[in-house]
Amino acid sequence: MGVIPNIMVNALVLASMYILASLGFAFIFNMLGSVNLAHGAFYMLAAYITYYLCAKAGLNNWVAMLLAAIVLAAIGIVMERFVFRPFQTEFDRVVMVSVALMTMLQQLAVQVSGSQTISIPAYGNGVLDLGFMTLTNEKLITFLVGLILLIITLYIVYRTKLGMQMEAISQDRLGAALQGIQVNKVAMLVCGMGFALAAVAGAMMGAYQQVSSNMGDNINVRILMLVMLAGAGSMNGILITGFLMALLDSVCPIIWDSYTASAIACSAVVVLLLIRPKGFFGHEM
Amino acid sequence: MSNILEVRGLKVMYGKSIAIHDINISVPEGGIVTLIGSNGAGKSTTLNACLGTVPATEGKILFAGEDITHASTAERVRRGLVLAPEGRHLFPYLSVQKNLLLGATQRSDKEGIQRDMEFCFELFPILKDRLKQKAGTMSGGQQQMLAIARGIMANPKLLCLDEPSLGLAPAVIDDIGNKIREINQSKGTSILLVEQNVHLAFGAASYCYTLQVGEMVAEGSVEEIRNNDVVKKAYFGG
Repeated sequence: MGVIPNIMVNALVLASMYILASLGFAFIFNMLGSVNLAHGAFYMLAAYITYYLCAKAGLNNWVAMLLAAIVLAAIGIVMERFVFRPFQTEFDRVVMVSVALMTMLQQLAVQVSGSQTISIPAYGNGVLDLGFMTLTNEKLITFLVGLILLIITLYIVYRTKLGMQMEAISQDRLGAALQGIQVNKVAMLVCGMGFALAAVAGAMMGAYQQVSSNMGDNINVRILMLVMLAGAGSMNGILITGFLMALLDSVCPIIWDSYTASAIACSAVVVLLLIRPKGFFGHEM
Repeated sequence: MSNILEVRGLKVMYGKSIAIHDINISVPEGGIVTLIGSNGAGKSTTLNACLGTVPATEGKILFAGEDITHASTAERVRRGLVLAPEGRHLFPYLSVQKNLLLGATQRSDKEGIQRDMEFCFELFPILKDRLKQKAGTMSGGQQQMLAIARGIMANPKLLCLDEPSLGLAPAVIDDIGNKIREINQSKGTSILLVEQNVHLAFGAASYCYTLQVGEMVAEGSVEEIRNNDVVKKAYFGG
């Protein structure tokens, strides 16, 4: 009983986290043209920071998450200033730097924590009985955190001057600068924001699933796929493809083992991209 | 009469090559000045240096009497130095309305913004009809009108226009010329018009500078320049 509602709940929880992790990547990709392949690694870093602040420093996991988000926002600002900005027109260099960072962070994670599986204490305990199904509070909280941050982000993008300036920069950087938009300042803010959102996703997923040195790779694949599937410049598209991706990741493991499931989910995305090479919701006139 | 813009001994280098050097330009307050020259003469470079999108290697740029040589582009726009660039650089996936509002992105005087938007609609009624249309879907002429209108939305003291005639039909070019004079007359905005189309440039402006391969070769009133042998030779190739 309740297989379908369960799948939907799992998909919603995963989707909220996938989308949260992807937003920063998408902003940086759309606005600055930089492909930050280390985005997943920073998500992992945030999970580790949160874990160690809880396990070793004894902090409350919410406080630890907040601190991790602040640290990652600072890293995002540094990345903008020293990687994305100087290498703005050099696609290959950003890829090289970000792959190097990704590898370093992963190795660091293995060195520091070994290969044992660890996880952040759950953000919620107990079960909620909805009558037709039961729902763990952890899932509910994870989803709500994702949802609230998503609503705030969408509000900023669609309803504020900053959002309109971001959009302008994505569409024509020089045109934006000539309107008096402080392109570098906006880029810095957005990188900080995007990294912090990824940090929250990492810290939540480190509790919902586990903290591991390859969690960054897993999310990286998701991020790349859902941003590509959504199409360049599409925010709404990310919401839909995020849910689609999460749905695949919720359904496939029921039918197949986790490796096959992952391969099949990825294949499905490849097929979708063959049908719509520009993605589903990219700019259309 | 004081000058809104004064460029003194401006030199710009791209790497090791000199793009322009020893450029002197004055735009009087309320005047229309044109800068003509063929492809690669350095017209756009001069404007870009005025806006700070390329750095000046040597020389000074004074705006309303103040040195802005090292000010950021945003700061220059805030002071009222605005450029509608070559190739327009509109935001193609945003509506006409949002493009206009982005022109006013540094302003917070709601009434003033509303007033300027009304002015743009009077000037280019087509923009009012197309308010919700994406900028990239409009014709070349309409896009040029939007680019100029977006410039007006910043409430400029000096509006620089870089080749507004580029790629437009002759009838549309005449219209643009009339609109440039109208902006100048009804808002008192000074205009610096960079053009290859001498017909448009001479029709709109009262004073003219002529650039050739990075150097100023002639300047004078439009009447003088029209009859200047150097210009005829340099620019018309005869």
